[in-house]
Amino acid sequence: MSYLEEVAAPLRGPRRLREDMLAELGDGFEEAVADGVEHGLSREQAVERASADFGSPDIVAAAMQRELETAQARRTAWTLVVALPAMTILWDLLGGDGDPGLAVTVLARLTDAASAAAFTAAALVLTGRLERRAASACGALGFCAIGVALGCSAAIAALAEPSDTPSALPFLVLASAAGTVWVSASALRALLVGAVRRRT
Amino acid sequence: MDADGIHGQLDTLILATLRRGEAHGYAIIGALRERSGEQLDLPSGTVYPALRRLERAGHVAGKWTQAGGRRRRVYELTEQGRSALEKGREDWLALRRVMTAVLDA
Repeated sequence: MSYLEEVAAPLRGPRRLREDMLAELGDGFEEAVADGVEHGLSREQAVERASADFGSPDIVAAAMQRELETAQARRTAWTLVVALPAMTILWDLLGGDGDPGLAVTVLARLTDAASAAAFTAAALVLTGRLERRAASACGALGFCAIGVALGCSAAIAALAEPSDTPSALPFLVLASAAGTVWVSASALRALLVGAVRRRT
Repeated sequence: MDADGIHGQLDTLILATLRRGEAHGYAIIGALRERSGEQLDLPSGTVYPALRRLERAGHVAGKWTQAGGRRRRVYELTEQGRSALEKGREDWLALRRVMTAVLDA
């Protein structure tokens, strides 16, 4: 395996940034090799010397992974900051305005609280106030918010009278399903990227 | 001096190599090696992720260029980076004064 492949192997995170960083490292490595050849080394010797100079692939990969983790955390944070309030607002606007009863109100507020917690963590990540394990935090809280929302929605559906059903329900369900898939996919990516550090 | 000995100072050193103008990663590595009189024993591959970190912090601005058939990502110091460099320099001088005062007392 070449030096660049060894650095690349454990890296996880946004594909464009990953490829961009690896391209830059690869260009630098080739320049170091060319430098060695220019100074009279064989290509093999020059590659060996450049590998020694650049340092253990583990160390370089770990430093790159930190950048990828930060980038993924920001992406997932943006998803949470946009998608969670959008879903909350949609339900508030279109969810009907009759009194749904105490149980349903409590469940609905629980969903709002879970969304608000994930939203707050995401906002802290985006403003740079939460950096340590930001990707894992965004991933875990994103999943929690979605899990609580799904659980509460199922309970509400079981409790609510058919007459309470808002007319926009099919649209709300469809929009929430799309939001759920979007948030879940992004949260999953954040958890996977955040987990790389523990393995390396 | 190994990388641990300059832990936390690498960012300042990289910023210092850009004080006189833009440079790409390999030139920065060369400048660090040369200006330290080959005393800086650093896994030079870590300079690349350090540059990305500095870019994210707004201390340098990077862009891909094409020169002589070679693609390079060059970096230049931003105003914010200039201030960070000045602060890093002052912090280092203060630390050095304290160390010297205590060690030589």
